[in-house]
Amino acid sequence: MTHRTALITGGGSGMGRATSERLAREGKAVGVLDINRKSAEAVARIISDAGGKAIALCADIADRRQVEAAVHELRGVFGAIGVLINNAAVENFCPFAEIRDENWDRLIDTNLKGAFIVTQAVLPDMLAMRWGRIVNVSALGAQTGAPNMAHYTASKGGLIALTRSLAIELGPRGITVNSVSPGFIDTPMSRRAIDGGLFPVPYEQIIATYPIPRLGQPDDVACACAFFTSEEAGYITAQVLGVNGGAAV
Amino acid sequence: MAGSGGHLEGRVAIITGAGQGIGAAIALAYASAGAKVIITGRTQSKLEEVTAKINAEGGAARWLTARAGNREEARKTVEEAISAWGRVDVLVNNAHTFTDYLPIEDPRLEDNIRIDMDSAFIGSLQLMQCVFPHMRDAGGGSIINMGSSYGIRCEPGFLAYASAKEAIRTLTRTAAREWGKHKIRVNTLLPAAMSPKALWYLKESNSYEAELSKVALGYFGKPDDIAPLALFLASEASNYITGQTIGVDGGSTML
Repeated sequence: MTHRTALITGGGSGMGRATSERLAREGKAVGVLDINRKSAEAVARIISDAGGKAIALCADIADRRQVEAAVHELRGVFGAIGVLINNAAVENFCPFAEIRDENWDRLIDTNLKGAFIVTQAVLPDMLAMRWGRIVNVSALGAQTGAPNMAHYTASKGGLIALTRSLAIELGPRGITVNSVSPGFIDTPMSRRAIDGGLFPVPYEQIIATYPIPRLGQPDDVACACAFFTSEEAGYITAQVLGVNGGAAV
Repeated sequence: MAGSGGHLEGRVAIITGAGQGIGAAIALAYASAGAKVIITGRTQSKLEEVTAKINAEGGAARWLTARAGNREEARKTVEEAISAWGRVDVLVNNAHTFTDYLPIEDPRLEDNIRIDMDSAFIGSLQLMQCVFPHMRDAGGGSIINMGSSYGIRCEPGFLAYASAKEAIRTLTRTAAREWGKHKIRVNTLLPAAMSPKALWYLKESNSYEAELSKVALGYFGKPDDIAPLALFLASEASNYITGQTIGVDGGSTML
């Protein structure tokens, strides 16, 4: 099997954790990057204990200097980075009229600019190998709209546009760029929203309307990320794959 | 395969239009992932060849000649799967009798549209109706229908082909919503792989370079490029994915 090094941002929890673990199980050496060092370390340890290859990396992806240091460290341990999962994101549920500049900036800086910074940091490796797999984790709300999440969905919509433009620009260099668009997934982020009473109706009523009437699991998203980053998926690029139980068809 | 959890041990799959090209590549991929496959098509010799290849590699395959759009043959196809192996877990509606380039003002277009619709849209519908009770009673299944970037792009001269493909996408999305409660997932794959006929057409119409320029990856795909996505969508790795349209076309379609 070809050795591949993967970087997963937001790898310390939720979908990023599931994706880190799945890619490691499939033989990739993974850099688990998170702003929370302890959670990154915990995931890296779980992977190592299971016989996989992982290191924990701590960085705020909105900070180019921190990102470059983390990428340098991962490259030094496991070699050139061929797989990137831009998963890290922050949320802020808030009616549009009340969104403050600092919250708008925080979401755009992390969710969108962060992906820009991390992708630029790993790109030289992919260009040198003439092989790369980039997956941008967007969101169902970016495709359908969602109340009280205008800044979040705008940042995720930006990731979809970024996916398409990069796919065209980097395609001839052997790099595929796709987006996985999760629906309602059972993550710490979703649980905070559920527990905080941030949905207009109980969440059970929301998922009951889905063709597959359950909350998605982080591993559902991880499986899609694993597919897009596999050797076999080389002719697939610029796609936005909804992992949403049919919530939007 | 390592990348996507695409294991199909114990599963039974029907693949139409599997005597050559994309259908044959999917049948071979499914068989090597452990599925038993029923392949259909119009030409017996081609089906025998694919079946022999699968069986020689230790897989399990059976063939039937069947024309997409013929209800009796659709019924027999599903019956063959049930009588041989007792179940149908995966259906790939790949067969499509397509018509040639024709501008909208040409009076022959109406007949062409009927040919495309009968084989691709009605043919897919018939097989879905035939597999439905078996998938429902077994607790689920995965159906993969074939759309086309031509349906999205509306290329001049291809209304018959493109409208049938878009009708299939509507069939997919409606079925995903109706049958989700039975754990039957339905997705549309938009493949782009160069067949000898497509290659001939691009050269004949002097559009080879223009078409290639629309492909982000800069090359035309082969049937083997399509099979991995069909395998992913058939497998448990895609259990939360339904009603979606996914292109495997080098980045020429962006939905």
